[in-house]
Amino acid sequence: MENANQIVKTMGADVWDGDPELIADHDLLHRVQAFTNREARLLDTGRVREWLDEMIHPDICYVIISRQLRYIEERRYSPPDSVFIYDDDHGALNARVEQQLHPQNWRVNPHEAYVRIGTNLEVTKGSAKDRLFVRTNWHLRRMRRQYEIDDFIYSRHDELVITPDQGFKFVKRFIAFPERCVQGRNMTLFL
Amino acid sequence: MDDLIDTKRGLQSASMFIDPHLYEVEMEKIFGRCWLFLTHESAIPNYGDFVTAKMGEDEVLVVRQADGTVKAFLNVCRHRGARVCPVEAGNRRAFVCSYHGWSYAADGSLATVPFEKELYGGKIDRCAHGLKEVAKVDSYRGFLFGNFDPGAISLEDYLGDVRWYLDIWMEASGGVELIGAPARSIVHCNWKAPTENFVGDAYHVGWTHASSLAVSRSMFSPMSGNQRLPPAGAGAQIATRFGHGLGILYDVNPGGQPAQTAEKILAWQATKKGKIAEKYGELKARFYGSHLNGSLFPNVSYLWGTNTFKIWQPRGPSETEVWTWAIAEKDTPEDLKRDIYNGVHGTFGTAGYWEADDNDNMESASLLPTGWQSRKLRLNAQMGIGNDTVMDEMPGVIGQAAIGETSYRGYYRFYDEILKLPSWDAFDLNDEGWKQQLIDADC
Ligand code: FES
Ligand SMILES: [Fe+2]
Repeated sequence: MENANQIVKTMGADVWDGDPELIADHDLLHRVQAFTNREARLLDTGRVREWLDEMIHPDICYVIISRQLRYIEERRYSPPDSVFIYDDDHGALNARVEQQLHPQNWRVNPHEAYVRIGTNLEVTKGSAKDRLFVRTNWHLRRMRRQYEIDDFIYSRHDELVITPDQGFKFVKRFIAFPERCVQGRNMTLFL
Repeated sequence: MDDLIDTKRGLQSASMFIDPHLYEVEMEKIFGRCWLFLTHESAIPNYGDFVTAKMGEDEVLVVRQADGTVKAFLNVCRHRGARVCPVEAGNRRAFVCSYHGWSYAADGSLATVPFEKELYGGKIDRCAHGLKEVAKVDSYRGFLFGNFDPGAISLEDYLGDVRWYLDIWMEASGGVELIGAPARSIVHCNWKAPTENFVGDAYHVGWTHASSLAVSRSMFSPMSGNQRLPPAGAGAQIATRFGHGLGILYDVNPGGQPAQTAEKILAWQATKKGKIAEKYGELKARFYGSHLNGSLFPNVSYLWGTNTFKIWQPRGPSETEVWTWAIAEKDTPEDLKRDIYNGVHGTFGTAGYWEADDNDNMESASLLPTGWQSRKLRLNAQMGIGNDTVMDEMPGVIGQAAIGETSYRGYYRFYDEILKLPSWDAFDLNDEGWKQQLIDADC
């Protein structure tokens, strides 16, 4: 098991620790924005199969961690401070999508409703020439059954691959979920 | 409270999931007197290592002492009651309260009081203001438990018959560890709703988890949608005196793990089974390769095979905080450990889809008894009632079927007993009458 700081590095999210040179190309920025908007729309409207097939790279590394609370100056205690809430590859995401769409998934019948509000888009060069790091903030609300409202608020660190047709695919997603104890019951939805 | 639990007929009052008065009684009689899980020894190996844990709604600091023993204290400052330690784990020789700066040594004693001479003029009795110590702390096979009641029976006695079953995975396996920090989330249910489910509900697996089974391509997948019952003789359920219980599905240990991981686990276990049989006998070796689901009274649950370890922390009658760890045999190769870890958090962690399947049932069963009429209903745990028996080779009271509600009945039998027990002094460890109570039960 790794420490949270190591995972941040492996996922390339440490690029946002400093002030990386932001991409100012408006056309590119606009296309990235449209791409993330489409993702939010597909996920909000239950189109998870299209989301996975069309927007997610086969090498996807989808990681959400929770970080155990420690003193900042802790030096003598070294067991890993991270919990992997998600550590999914394409196969694992595919199983989740299949489960969501399964007719005997009682949880999503009646339908759950979701709204994703995304903001603070920043884009910088990725780990290779055809890649981009993208940072966004999100408020995701899940509404289900008669009274259930669950809120998830987080910063998201994605890496995109630029496809030959100038489209994109998500190849990395990293979220250090900021609530230590997740108030929203469970996280069986895509952040 | 008299008609809360009907052990004779295997019924419970739905109000037990909602009644605020009962909840207070539970805190006093159950969480104030039973052995409660704190942490695993491996989380605090060195002097000054500590974790914060929950005992009922009380926060405690669990600290490794200079002499290697472990003490636990209420995480509450003895001055004005502020939280002493705000983190979950670390190493400290002293704990300093952030309110006025009183500091406590690792053994809980009050070490320093800012401006003690000037402001208190020697009038503060330091010895009387150490952190309030948890009366008893003890360890079973590396699992640390605490008990607030100085008169409580020993941890070993309290685990009782269930030790024979715990030893399969805690000892015969060569010993286990809990991997890393726990996942934590809030479920809006009564703490007993998930605990009773894990103690002995093989019935819901095929139906509640139909979709998870269908997509997981695991050994359990054929049960999806109740297409198939486990064959006769496929398992058993066990109830024990102190409410601890479990269910066994024979020979399908990694049944809930995805096929690839399951294959690796089977190959790994095959290398160990022969030695286990030699040392602990064929039956334990078989159980080592079986899937076990169980709960320890009052609020610990585990799955041996799906390798999940959970604690259901009460936060009022209608809210529970769940902590989830992955269990691994200590000698498991690192890459397999990681697969198991991912398997656990992918199924029963915060984003586990099995976990989410279960949430709705536990939440609605806990919430609906707010209705005045719904509260008066009796919950039924009669499956297999009248067939419970004792066996020479397996301790406890046994229900000889893979699916049944024997361990539900055993769990609530003790729940009823401890609520009515005036004190541990009044408890007779040698009284075997509890077995007959379960065996004689009938609708
Ligand atoms: S409350 Fe802790 S020092 Fe005053
Ligand atoms: Fe379940």
